[in-house]
Amino acid sequence: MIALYWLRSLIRVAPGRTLATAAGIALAVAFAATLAIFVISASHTMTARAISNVPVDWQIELAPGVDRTPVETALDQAGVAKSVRSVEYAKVDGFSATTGDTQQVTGPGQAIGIAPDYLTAFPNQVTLLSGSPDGPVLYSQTAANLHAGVGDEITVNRPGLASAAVRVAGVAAIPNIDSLFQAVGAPPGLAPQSPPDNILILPETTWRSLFDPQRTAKPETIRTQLHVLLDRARLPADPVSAFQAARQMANNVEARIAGSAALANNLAARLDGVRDDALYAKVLFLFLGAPGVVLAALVTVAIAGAGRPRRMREQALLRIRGATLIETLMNPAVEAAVIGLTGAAAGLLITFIALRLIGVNVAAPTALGWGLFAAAAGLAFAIGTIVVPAARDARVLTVAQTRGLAEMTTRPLWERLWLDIALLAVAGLVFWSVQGAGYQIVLANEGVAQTSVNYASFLAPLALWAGLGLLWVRLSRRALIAARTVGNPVVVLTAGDLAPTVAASLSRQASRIARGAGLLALAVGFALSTAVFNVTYSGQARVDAELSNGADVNVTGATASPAGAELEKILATPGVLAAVPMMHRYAYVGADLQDVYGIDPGAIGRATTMADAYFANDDAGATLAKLAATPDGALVSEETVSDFQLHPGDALNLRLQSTVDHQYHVVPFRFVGVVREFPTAPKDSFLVANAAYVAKETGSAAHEVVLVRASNPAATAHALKSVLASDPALKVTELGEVRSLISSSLTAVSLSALTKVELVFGLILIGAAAGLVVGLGFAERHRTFAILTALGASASQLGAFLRSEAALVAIAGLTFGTATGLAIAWMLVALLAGVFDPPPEAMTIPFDYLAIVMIGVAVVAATVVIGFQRAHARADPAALKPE
Amino acid sequence: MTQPIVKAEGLARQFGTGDRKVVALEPATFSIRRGERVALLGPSGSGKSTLLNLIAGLDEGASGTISWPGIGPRQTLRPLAVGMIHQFAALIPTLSVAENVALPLRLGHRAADDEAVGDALAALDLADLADRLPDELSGGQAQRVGIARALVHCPALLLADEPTGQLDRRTSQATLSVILDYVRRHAMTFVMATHDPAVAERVETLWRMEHGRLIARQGSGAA
Repeated sequence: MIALYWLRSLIRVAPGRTLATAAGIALAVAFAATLAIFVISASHTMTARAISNVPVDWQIELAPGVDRTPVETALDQAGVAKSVRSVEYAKVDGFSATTGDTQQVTGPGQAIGIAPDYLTAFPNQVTLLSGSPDGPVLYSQTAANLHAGVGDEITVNRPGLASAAVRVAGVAAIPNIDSLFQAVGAPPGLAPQSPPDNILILPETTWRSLFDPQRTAKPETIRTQLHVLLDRARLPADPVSAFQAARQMANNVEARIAGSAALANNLAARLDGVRDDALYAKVLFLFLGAPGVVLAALVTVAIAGAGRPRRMREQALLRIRGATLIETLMNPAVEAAVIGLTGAAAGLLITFIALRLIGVNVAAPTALGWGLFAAAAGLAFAIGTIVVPAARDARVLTVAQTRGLAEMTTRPLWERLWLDIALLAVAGLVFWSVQGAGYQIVLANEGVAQTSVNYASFLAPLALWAGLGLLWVRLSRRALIAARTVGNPVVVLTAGDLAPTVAASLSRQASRIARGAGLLALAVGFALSTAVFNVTYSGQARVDAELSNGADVNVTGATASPAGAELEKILATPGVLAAVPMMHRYAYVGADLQDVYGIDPGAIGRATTMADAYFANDDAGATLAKLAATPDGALVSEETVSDFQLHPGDALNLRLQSTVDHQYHVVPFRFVGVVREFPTAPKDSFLVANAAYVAKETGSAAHEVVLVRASNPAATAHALKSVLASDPALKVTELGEVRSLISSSLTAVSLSALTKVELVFGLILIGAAAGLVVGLGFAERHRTFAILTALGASASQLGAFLRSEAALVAIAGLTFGTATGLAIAWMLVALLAGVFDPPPEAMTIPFDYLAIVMIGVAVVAATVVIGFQRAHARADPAALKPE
Repeated sequence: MTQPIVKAEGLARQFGTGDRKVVALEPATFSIRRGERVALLGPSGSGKSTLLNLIAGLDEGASGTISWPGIGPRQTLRPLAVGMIHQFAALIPTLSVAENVALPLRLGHRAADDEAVGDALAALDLADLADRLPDELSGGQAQRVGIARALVHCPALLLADEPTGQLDRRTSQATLSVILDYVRRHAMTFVMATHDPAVAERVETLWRMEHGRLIARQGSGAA
């Protein structure tokens, strides 16, 4: 019963603090739950996106001479397959075609035979560019090599048999050519096999009529695969679990078909690539989200702690009137339960609204589970924040003993032990050791089921957070104490001739004010570090998309109908800021066909980013200048340099196709630099050369691609599509489309929604730290201000006390907070380099957000000061009585 | 006749409304002359503190008028013209004894008058406690600091609400002597609320209060 009286009195006497404590818990619960559910949702999105791009889940290659029926029966028994189709592969010596006066002959290739409904079952396997799929379909690269198109007749040179002629019905791209022609059953770790450059896709019946004789004559040139689409609904939503499930399903089937066939698990391979992204998402949650949750908890502790002296006095009064320890603890327990439940319920409501606003869609039981977990943690935290200190204070028996306990006059233990400096040293050491070791924070080795996260690396930012927070408290406290004797410019400025009195008063509250300043610094640091990281991340996501698309807008044609021919039209299109043509050809490096990009090194930077990180020497300017100065120079991808053991200055003989005779001829180049990434280039092997030299050596100055810088990529792309509509061979793509298609990288997961939540949460935290901590400090000294008013302090003089304290907290909080935010962001960007692709060259500082933070702190502090000044404008004799 | 320093006509004060209305001061008409020393005697809850707060300008009446013809308008009363000794010391916990005592001077832009602080502390036997914080004082010491703070700027009108309520009888008498000595030396007008007839006897004019009513006035100051 007494607990209910306590509660009623609490709500009557301190409604603001009670509500603020509940609000703090609500904030912590909401932020933790929203982040957790967002991360789960993001990992589910990753899984869905990753598997949506897998055209064939499994490729099961039958052992030579094995009948497919028992393998299909085994698949049926496993009960995991949704569709199964057979695909026949035949090696051929090459293809040839005659166009006009010339005859083109290709090197060796493959002819595959597919069932009539294969493309219905696996629609992403082949992209028809022209003609019809109901007949022989020629791979686009082969069509280019043969100069053949729909309706042309080509000859298939079968090994050991006479050549056979077929008429081309269609030309197609094979987006997943690597997996379609992979070596099934190859031992792990073996370098991937290059796909053939020459491919003919035939209807199964045609294939049989052409290659059944070859199966008899040269059986080693023929193989059969079963392409399987799995029942994907059985896969867990989380990429790590989905990867394991995909492996386990395959293991089960492999055990059934052992000796008869080998299985290539494309689904698991794709999920394998997403696993580390999912782990990075979780790491991001911990690095970026956890400090916010801890900070919300600290603000809550500060708010709840503001009522501690009053609670102590009331408890002591109860005890000297005979209440037992349990009875005195019942009151704070009920207070904690009510505050905790209110906060947790409000937190869940905020979570629900936030998730709806940012459009997160996650399975209800998962969301509910995380929400309830966060709510339970919030309730436990409320009990810990209110009941535990109350139990500790219960030893205080008299009201008199409670006096003087509110303000620590001695240096706290951590300060005497130099814990702040020790923590900063730990942060530095851990950071240096993990950075120096060239470690990876997330390890999800390809093909290995186990994943690991280097949790020790968390120690660096954790120690930096804690060390800086304590250091700011130490410095603020020291400065306040020193201000009593040496003066403080802020106090002199805000308090005028009352400065000595105000400085003396503030110096005796140094610990409390320093804690407030430290808390505000951490809140500002959290908001700023999150903003810096997110802006840097978004910038890199844009760079990633720009790398894939080539530029804001990309116009791609072919050598026969190059986009460069339309350069004038493109430049005249509204929204185009710059347009630079680029060649895209192919060249043989040894037996390996690679992409070659012909550029004007001095001009390409006008249309697209030439980041230092793209080049091995981390100097884009120097590398491009060197290329420009070496007409026959070539920049070679890191993989090619490694595969061919090249050294700078080496001569490099490539084979490029001449437009005169359509044959590949040797062209000498000089290796002048190493390129890691390049706009539109694949991740592995490619070359960059001077366009003028390529034009001279191939007889064609055609620029297949035009890279466009645009003020509004989507609108400009739309305009360009209209302008270039007359040439259907030209394809216009813009950044936004490409961004949504990149599925192998974490940057594909839009963090913009999460960013908004974090930035808004950061501002609320700053408001809470600046407003509630300062405001509650003022509220607890209500009697002091009443005394000052009673003594005749004018509004301005009363304001001197309020202004000085608020200004000190705000200035220290903002200064130290900015330093904290930048230091933490710098460490996070360095530690989470694996998240970025390519890595950022520098942090991006969001000055607009920083300005909002500064203005926000100033406005909140000014509002609190003005509010208290008004509240104490009139003398209140009743407030002079001791509390 | 000496000009009144405070003049009230039908001054009344009540708290709350309706069923919860409490009349703290029935309409009262009085005047206090410059240099007059008045004791307000009455039991607890008789309205003494309410009347003192009204005279100090800390509170406003619900009806009637009050003016300070010998001092000036309400907004000029504090910090310098009126000094008040509160029933409870009402010290600022984050300022030392000396800083608390110096506050009226600081607020009144007379910061240079530090000698007065030393005098007030010495007079109340507080010189050794100058650097202590209020939490480090006994109740009696804190009360004496409150008195020193009310005397330090030698106000024209000194008001005291149970000034010796926290003190033992001997200290009480000695402290009251210090107050009255200050009052005489600086020709202050003095109004003191007390429930102790022995304390009230130390001044010339006695006003009695009961249930919010000013019922009897004896001595030279009776209006």
